[in-house]
Amino acid sequence: VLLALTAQKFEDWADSLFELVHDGIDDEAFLEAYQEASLRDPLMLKLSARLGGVIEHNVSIERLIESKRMC
Amino acid sequence: VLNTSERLSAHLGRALRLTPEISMTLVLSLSALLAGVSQLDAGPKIDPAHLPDDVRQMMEAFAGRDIFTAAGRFILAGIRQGGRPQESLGRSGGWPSCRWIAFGGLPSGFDLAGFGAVILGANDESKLHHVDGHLSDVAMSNPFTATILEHIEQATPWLALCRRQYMWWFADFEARADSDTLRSGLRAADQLWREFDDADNSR
Repeated sequence: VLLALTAQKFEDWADSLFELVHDGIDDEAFLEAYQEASLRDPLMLKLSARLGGVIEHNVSIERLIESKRMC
Repeated sequence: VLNTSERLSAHLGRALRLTPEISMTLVLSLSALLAGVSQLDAGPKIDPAHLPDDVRQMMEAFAGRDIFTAAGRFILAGIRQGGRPQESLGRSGGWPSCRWIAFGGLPSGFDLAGFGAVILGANDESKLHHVDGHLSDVAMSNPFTATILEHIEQATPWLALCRRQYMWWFADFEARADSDTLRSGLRAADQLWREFDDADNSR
C-alpha cells in the first residue's frame, strides 16, 4: 500500500511540475515552482524520505520490482 | 518511474533551455537536495512563541525551505556553467569565474602536499590566491599543473586541463599510495586548509 501510495504521490508531484513550470521560466521562479510542487502534498516528502530506508526494505523483491514498474 | 522522469526531464529541459540529459541531472540533484533538507524540518512542530529567542533564531536559520532555495541556486548555476563553460568564462573572466567552475561538482586537481587533490577545487575564490606557494613537488611534477596556473593567471578557461591534471594525479597517486601515505597526506592537507583559513581570517 505504501509503495503504491508513494508511486501515486510521485505522479502527482510530476503533474504539479508540468503545471507550474512553463517555457521560458527563469531559474528563481523554477526553484519556487519546484519547491511548491514538492510541498503541495505533505505526504510526498514524508513517503519519499522513508522509501529507500524503510518501505522498500519491508516488501518482497516481487513487490519491489512491481512498484518500480508502476508509473 | 523512468517514463515519468523522462517526460518530466524533457518538459523541464524545454522550459529551462537545457538538454534532456542535463535536465534529468537537474531533477535528480534537486530531488536529492529536497530529500535532504526536508529532514531539517522533520522535527516536532512547536509554536515559535514557545521557544527562547536563540533557539527560535537557530531553527529559522536551518529551515529547509531557505536552504533548498540557496543550494538550488548553486546547483542550477553549476549545471548552466557545466553546459557552457567557455562562454561564461569568456564573458566574466577573472577569479570569480574560476569560483563558479566548482559548482559543476568537479574537483580540480591541485595536488597539495602529495595528496589533497580534491580538497582545493576552484570553489573558494579567496583560497585560490594562496595556491601557488603551497604546491608540492608532486603537484609541480604533474605535467598539467604549470599550464593550469598560467591559465588561472590569465583568467582563461582551465576546466578541461583540470580534469586531465586530476586524472594524471589519480593514476600517479594510485601507483604510489599506501596507508602511511594516506595518513600523512590527510594530515598535511588538513594543516594546509587551516593555513588557508587563517590567511583568509587575517585579511
